[in-house]
Amino acid sequence: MNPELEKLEHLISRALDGECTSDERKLLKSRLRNDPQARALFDELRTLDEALGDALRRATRRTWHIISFRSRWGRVGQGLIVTAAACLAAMAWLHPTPPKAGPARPTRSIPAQASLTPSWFAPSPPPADEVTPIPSAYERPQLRVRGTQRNWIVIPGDRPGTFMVIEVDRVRTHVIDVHRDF
Amino acid sequence: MSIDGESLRQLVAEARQGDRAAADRLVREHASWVRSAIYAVTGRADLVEDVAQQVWTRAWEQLGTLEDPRRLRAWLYTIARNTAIDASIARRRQRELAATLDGQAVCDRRGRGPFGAAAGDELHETLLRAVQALPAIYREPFVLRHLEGWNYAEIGETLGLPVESVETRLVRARRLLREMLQGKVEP
Repeated sequence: MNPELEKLEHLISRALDGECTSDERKLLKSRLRNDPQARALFDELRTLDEALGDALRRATRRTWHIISFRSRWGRVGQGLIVTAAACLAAMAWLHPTPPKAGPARPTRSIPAQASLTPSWFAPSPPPADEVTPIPSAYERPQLRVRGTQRNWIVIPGDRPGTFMVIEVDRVRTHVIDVHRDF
Repeated sequence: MSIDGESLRQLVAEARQGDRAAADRLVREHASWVRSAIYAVTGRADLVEDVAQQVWTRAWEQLGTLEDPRRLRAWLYTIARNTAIDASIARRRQRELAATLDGQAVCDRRGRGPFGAAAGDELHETLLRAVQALPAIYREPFVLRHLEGWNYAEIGETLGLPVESVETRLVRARRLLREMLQGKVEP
């Protein structure tokens, strides 16, 4: 590279960066006045420098600003969501919604659940088991045999919510304290 | 350098002992230029915030190794540069792996994401790509000069370079940029 041109580049670069001494500034001024090529190079480098500096500032500041803006509004948004959730919970607690009267189902509902008002945040209850009457294979005895106790054996079916229930009347056992007699 | 040497020494000592206020002040004082340094190394604005978090985490982990608190800026710059390089490599590997899994050719999309969205005009994007295309040794002083407005001595102190080297690198950065952007920016 032409050493004269390299020297000029250094001088211009120092001037653009504000690093020139007063002597260097004078030298550059006179060079720019007398040398059109030096003037053209200076103008080109200065324009480039300004455009590049502006582009860098715009790119970085804008991106970082967007990120910080997002994080700031993210925090505000989280606060609003928590507040809204708290308000909804308070409303649900103060004004419980009565259960809707739906169409009569041919099902048996569980009495304990029916008496409770479900919370807004509780998961929806599973549908009640549908029970269809099965023609009984035998007649259930109306009278229990004296000295028996009723037990149930529950066997889960292959589908959720289906069970086979076996009702057993067993002879009640008694404990006799035999030692008392001796 | 808004904190003088003695205050800085005290601040670092307090931060080492777990003083949160001192640590906060150190971060506030240095956060801006650390971001610029990360950008200078990677040339990517979208990596800056994530890498900055990692830089501060590493800095707190390694604060005990800082022998001379007056050299805090150079010490932080070393951490920022290493972390930024690690992040760039990791990002490139991720992209290569993703491209391999997709069965697509690996393509370098640097600068298209956040810059493309933020720039809005072609010239702006061209200028940024030219800066990204600079070799890191020229890009680092150039970006620090333009984003932080540091003089040659400050850049040299941070990068661990003599002032003459900073000047030479800036001249070469301008020369390369002029070649790359020939005829694209009108005086």
